[in-house]
Amino acid sequence: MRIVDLRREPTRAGARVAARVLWEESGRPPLDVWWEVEGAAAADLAASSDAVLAAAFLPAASSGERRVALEGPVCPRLAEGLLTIARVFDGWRGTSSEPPRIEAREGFCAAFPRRPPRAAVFLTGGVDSTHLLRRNRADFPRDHPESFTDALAVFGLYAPDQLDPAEPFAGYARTRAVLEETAAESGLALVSVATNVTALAPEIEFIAKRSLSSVLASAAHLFPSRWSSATLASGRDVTILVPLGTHPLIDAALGSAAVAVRHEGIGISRPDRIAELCAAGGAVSRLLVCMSGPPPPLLNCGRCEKCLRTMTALAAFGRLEEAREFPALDLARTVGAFDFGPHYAPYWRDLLPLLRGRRDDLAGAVERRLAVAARQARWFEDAGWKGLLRRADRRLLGGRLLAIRRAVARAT
Amino acid sequence: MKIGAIRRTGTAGEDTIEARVEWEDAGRPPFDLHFSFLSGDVPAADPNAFLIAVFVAALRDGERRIAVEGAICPVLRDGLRAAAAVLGSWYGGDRRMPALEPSEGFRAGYPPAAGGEAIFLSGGLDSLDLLLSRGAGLPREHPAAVRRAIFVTRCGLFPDEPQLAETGARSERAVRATAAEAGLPLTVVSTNLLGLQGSLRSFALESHGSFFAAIAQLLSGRVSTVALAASDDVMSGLHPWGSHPLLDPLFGTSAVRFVHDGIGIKREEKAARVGGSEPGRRHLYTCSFPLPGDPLLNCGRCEKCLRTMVELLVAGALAESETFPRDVTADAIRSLPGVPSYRRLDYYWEPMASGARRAGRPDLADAIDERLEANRRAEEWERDRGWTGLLRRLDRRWLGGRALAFRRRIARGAR
Repeated sequence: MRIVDLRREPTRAGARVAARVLWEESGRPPLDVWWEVEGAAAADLAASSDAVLAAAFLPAASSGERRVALEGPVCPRLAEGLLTIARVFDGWRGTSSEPPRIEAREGFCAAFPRRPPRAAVFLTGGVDSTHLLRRNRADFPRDHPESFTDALAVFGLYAPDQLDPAEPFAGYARTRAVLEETAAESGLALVSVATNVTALAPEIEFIAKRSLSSVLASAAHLFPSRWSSATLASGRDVTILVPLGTHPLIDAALGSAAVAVRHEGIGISRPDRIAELCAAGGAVSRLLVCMSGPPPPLLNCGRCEKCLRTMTALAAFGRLEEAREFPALDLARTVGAFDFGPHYAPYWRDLLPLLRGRRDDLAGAVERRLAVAARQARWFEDAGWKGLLRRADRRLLGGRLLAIRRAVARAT
Repeated sequence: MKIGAIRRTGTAGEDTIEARVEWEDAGRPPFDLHFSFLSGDVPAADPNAFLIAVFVAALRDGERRIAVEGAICPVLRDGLRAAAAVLGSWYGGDRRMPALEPSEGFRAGYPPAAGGEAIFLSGGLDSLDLLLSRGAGLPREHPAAVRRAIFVTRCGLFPDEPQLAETGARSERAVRATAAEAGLPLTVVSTNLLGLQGSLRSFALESHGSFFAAIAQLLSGRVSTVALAASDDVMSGLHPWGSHPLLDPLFGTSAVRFVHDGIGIKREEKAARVGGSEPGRRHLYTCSFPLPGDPLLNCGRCEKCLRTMVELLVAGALAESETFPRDVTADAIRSLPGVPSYRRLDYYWEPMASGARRAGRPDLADAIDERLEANRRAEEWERDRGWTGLLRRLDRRWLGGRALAFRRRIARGAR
């Protein structure tokens, strides 16, 4: 892969950094990637090779590119970190791959971090980043180098092909407005970045399991004169960590000598985070957790697993009515009919202690769904006497027993 | 548990920070924990350091609270909560997070404005590789540049053991020379902390990272980050261990971040980088059992020496080494000593057989395979695995071990 024509150009409302990505091994057509910023922060936007490298490295690795060649200088710490990340993924997947070589025509050169230090936080408006912001405000005096001064919101990650290059923020006006409020309430400036860089590897699974943090980090590396660190809120607590595109083992390796990247919050479970937000007051009113992009006027659909789980937790604390971006619905009935499956069962199980004695109707609904999830898990695992029968049927009868049962069920 | 009476004492050239640790639930006697700097510099009287130092022991031994004299960093507060969860998920047991009760509340410390990093040096392969890689390409005045090295000379376990004294002396000699040649001031630390932890096994499995992190906090105000070399890499598989990339950073504060560095580098790559470097050629020290009369820095007989020698040989660097014998024999590998029960011989040695073949030493590769096969058989025997293990279990259960006794009698008779 070659990354050429890295440039910064003014736009009507701010500035844009763009580069052309040329694939060398995978036979894909060239791709123009860009990041756009509006408002005052645009003055700090830099055409950073580190930013493009952070975003392009993992797609290059997964596409079998043998090198990533850049025209500008690259931070040696970031280059080392990216190789580490490639190996972390290898370790997780049990594979042994040769990561792409990083070639920098102007060499490897460590930039100095800005002085005095300033810290940014990635803000999505969800439980994790809102909680992290609250914690930061409570724990650090404003003059502390780790006290957040900017909130960084990145748009376009999951639908890069739907971004209009002429109006990249057009679809995000409501979300931006809510995030502006959340940031302003904590005295932060919101820096919004729209990018199509996930078009390098646009599959949702790749973003979720591989590239999420690297794409976010690329946005952080565009502002070395504005902040010296950027912090990601952990989406999970340490007891339920799984290999994902954001993880404490990889996020810290995405930093450069000028902009450190941090992953914070793994000591606190999601129910505890929600409990703290509910206790803080006000914070729950603007929560944005939904990934499904519901039609206006609300920003949370109230139907997906994440929405329902968050609503249930808020209901446990009697704060659901304040969460203005969620729809009003009969929550116990909706949860009682919702199939969250075995994968999400641990998260729902965590909610039971919060619900019992406060919302026994919801606790009952969650318990019933957990029982269904447990049955599904046993089915998936071929556990119990039915599993034994299924295994025996497959092994000894070639699955004929199951086929007969299904034929009978269809006939009746 | 209470941590109090944090005080500074000292004599010329040896500055000490002490605190009294009193157990409340575990029924253990009070412990005067100290950290001494033997290098003329002064340790910070930082309560965070003492909290980190005692935390794993307090957690393991069921203390319900840790009351500390002074203020504690909120970053550490959250980190310890996560560390308790990590250790609980690895080792189970009744590890409940003790309540943290600092007398002056939770307050974030400030890193020094000029930044600066320190690294732990032991003289071994991992830490020398860290010296060569961490901050590579960074100018010395960069805030992320390594500006200091730390060496722990005594740790409080088996203080009268002459073997450890010899190991410590050789290690210190190697590290002093390495740091001096790298232009890094060296902080030499002595502590009795391992006396509080209890055992080498607990140190290895649970508290190894927090031990070094506690010492790192004593440099608060002088450096903003302290790095510890990873001993395992992610490709070979990370497993529960007292120093771990998930665990170590949790023992940092906002004043001194604690970093576990090097999980992306394979041991063979470290051997190549270190073996080909001047400090590696002249000062690499890995030996566990040196004898006073040994002519070279490393004995060349113990498991760790032999392992490092094969790694250097594969990297083409053993013949240039000034600290190891310059060749390895197949016989030495066949009679390789074992490793402690909490480590696995095959974890280290299995990847080396193919390396030895690549390096044109099939004799060593065969010897490694033989030694690993013997080790596997011994492990199977210990764990009653395989069909012979099944027979032994049945014999114990149904025949009270009579079949084994009979077999031994016959074997004795035959001899």
